[in-house]
Amino acid sequence: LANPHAQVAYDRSAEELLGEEYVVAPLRRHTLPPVTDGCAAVVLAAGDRAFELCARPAFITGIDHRLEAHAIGARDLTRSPSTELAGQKAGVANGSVDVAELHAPFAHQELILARALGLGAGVDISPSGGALAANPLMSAGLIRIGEAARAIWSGKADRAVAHATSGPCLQQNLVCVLEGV
Amino acid sequence: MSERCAVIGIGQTVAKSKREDVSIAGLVREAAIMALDDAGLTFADIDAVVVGKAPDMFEGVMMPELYLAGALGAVGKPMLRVHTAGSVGGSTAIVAAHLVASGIHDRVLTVAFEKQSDSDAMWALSVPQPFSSPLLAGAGGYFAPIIRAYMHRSGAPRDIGMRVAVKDRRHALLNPYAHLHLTDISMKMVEDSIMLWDPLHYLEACPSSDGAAAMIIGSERAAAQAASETGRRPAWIHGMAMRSEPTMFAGRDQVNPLAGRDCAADLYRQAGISDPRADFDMAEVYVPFSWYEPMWLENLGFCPEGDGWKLTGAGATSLIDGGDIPWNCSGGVLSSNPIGASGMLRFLETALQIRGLAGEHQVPDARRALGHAYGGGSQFFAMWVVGVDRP
Repeated sequence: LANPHAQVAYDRSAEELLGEEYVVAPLRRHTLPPVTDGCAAVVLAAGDRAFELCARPAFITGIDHRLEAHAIGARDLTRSPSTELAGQKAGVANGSVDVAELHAPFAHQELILARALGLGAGVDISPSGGALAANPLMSAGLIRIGEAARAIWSGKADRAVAHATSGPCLQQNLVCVLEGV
Repeated sequence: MSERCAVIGIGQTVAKSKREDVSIAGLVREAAIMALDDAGLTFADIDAVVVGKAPDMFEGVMMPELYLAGALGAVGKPMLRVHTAGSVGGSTAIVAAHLVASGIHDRVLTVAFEKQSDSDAMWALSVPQPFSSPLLAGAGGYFAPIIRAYMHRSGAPRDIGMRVAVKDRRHALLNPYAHLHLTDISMKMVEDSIMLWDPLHYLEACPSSDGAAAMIIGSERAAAQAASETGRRPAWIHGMAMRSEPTMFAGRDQVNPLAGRDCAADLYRQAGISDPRADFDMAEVYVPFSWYEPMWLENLGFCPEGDGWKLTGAGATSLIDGGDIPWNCSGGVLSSNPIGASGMLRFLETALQIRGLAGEHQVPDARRALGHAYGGGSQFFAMWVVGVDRP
């Protein structure tokens, strides 16, 4: 509701949502992403140039991406080892996280990703509404980085994590750590 | 570039019309393992994998890089897919090299492929798509009018294209990996072949091939280790550049595209090239239709504009005729065209020459070479320079 770029926005109770028919059990409409037209762009600047262009730049202090096997039968789909590994390489645990923007086009994936990244109860997860609010497939990951940067620009976060996924059932995952100074 | 980087391993499949014995995964794995063996490495030594291929519609496998994760040993590693149409094999090698030049990784496996027998590239390039100009009868139909404009502009005699077609097929006879081995190739044979897109005869066009190419790009440390373990020297990367321009815009020079000239200028600045014809010992240049040799000779600054056909006509680009600047000693795209891999094969062949491993088509004492690929409507360019000397 607070994101003017969101496609799907409403304030409804959990009881009301659980009253929906299944689309395919156990998935109901509210656990699925919308079909979206959209585009995202992010401008990167190196070093001190960022301070000339932006009052409070969001510096990328870690970024990594990892891949899993394609065959879903070869994977434990209740975990996301590629997110765990990318999170370690990007240094997610090297400080406290204020905001995490997770690319979870299916609601249950947010739980798997939050656990893979070790995000505790104090982390504000996907304040933009995430991919459940707007899912322009190939740019839905990039805008997670944009939204995490926006949280730093505004001072809402000092340290933020952004995540993007590709492939069936979270096959490929990217983790980006952003910090304000 | 910040860190030095080099080609330390090379693998390529024998290009063929139909590789019915393997899937796409089997094809790319074959090239990847050859490159690893060449570098004295295994999949476990690789930090990241960069995959390139031409449009997904060619085989109808969307985002094939995801399906290739296991075959390329990429599970648990970063993997990137590159797609810049026909130039993709070159762009893919450059993305891989940037991952090493930037200091992120020590050893990157890069692979490009096309399995044209699984596909119908002619259909994929001809089907009308919304908001884009149709290519009509495939790539040849698109390029033929541009070639005619070149002939009109330069006054080149009509036999120049056929000379390139013969020259590259004679080179291919020296390359066991080439698809076409036309032992009786001659000017008459080309002239007698059916006219496809005037002025291009059938034998002035590239074949349709299955094939894969792979390279290992290594850091200075990785290059030293591979050289000491295998006894094969690295091909150092002296510069790399990419440029793009839209397919169509008012005033666009489609015969001599600005993006190609800008790309070459950037590359030559990086590598310290002032006179390409004298400074390079050989070049592997993307020539899918015969006339693109004289056109790219001009675009790449090997001669003044309008003179490219004179170099071709005089045999300057022929290894067999002892030309001073041999082009496409491997036989080039005219002799093997696994589309997504064709650009990488150009880059790979320059590294093979610099490492002294090109066998019968080796240019004696090749010390510096140009690799080139182009794609789309002559709008995407990727180039690199490799050399014997550490930069």
